[in-house]
Amino acid sequence: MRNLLLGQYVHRGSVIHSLDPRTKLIGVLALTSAVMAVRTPMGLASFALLWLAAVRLSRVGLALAFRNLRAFLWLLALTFLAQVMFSDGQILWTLPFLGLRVTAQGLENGIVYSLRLALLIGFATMLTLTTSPIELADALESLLKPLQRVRVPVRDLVMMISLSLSFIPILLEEAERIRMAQLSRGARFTGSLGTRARALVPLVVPLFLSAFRRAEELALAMEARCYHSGAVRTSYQQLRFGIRDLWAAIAVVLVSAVSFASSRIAIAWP
Amino acid sequence: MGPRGDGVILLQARLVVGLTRPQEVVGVARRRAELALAAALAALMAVGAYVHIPLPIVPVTLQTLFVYLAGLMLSPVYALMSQMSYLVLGLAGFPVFAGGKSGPAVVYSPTFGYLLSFPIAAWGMAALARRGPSGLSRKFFTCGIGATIILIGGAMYLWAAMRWILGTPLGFPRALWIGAVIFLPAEWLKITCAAWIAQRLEMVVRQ
Repeated sequence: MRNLLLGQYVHRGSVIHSLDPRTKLIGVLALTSAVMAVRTPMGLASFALLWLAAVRLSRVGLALAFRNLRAFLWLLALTFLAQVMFSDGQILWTLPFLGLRVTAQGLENGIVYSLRLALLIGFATMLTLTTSPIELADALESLLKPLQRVRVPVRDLVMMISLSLSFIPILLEEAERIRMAQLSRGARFTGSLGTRARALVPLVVPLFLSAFRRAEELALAMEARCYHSGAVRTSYQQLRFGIRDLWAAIAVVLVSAVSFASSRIAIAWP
Repeated sequence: MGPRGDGVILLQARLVVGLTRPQEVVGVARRRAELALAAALAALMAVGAYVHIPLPIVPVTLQTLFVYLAGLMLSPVYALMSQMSYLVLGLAGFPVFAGGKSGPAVVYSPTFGYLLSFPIAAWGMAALARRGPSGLSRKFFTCGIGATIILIGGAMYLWAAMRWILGTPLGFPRALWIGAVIFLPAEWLKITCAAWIAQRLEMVVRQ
């Protein structure tokens, strides 16, 4: 449950942790788009160095930074293999029985595409490792505020997000309790496809009704506390854009611009 | 019907499509009640990601079931927002997506398109559900439209991700096959369940 409430956040008092979450959010967006634009192994290697520097600076440790990559391992492997097997070019080896050819072009493409994907995931992971979900929600609310002009209920959305966050552990527990209760009454959750599908109904209907009851209680509690969805609310944590954020933003913009420009030049002048 | 502004009764009344007309319902209280219900549904999406049935070929989660239910029960804006808040929660790093995945890195996985089309499907279904009759067959039809939106959206994202992120272009018919058609049997079951559950919930609340 601890994992659920904290997300992937790891608390360390580093420079990166203390940045304004908005800076980090936009910085990651800029860096990942720069990574998308890079087409050479060397360009990607420089980004990999940048990522390692960020990991070092954030003091979360390499093991944690790599852990999230593990969930995407099959995707990375698939990308690499697909590139290696299905690219044309100069033949390096031919696998004897399958008739598959490994080409130099394919190998390079495989490295570029899988490294690029790994970097995209890596930078995104850095954001969630160093920024608590609450901070991210605040940042999102602040960045989405302009949408209120076009009558998107941003405040309601943020309220809904924090409410559903507190609902999740309650409903998870409830689902488990209902499953046990139905099992004790002789419900079967194994068997043929049809049996399992039918077994869903006695699970989902009570779960749904329970969620309903809780939502009703919540609506009543909100009414008792005079919640009004149109009203302006203040928050305990105030976001501050400081001098460090400025430096970080400048660094990110420079890196992205230089890498983007270099990738364009490399194409124009082979 | 209770006094106007009573969140509890309005919330139940909202469920029973056809018992209340929108203009009868007072704005503030309705918004509050729907906000709470939409939050609960977003949480149910997360629960649905954990409660999964291990079927032979494709592991099926309960998630789309809750998308259909959100589409059938909420008004369009709140159906959209409940799905969006689920998405934002996952992207912010809470492990609420299927298989406990989370974080912005999910965007680069080829199956993100399904998640992305949840809000659109819920919105479309809610818009469709509030006009026309409210029988079981109608619910079935509405869920079918929702499933179509989710599967086609997912297949399109799969196609685009294979092409531009993974660099392994895939023909669109092929993407449609592996991204949508093979899910149809499981989706068919969930559509049936969703329509039936929505109908039963209506009956429970009507009593």
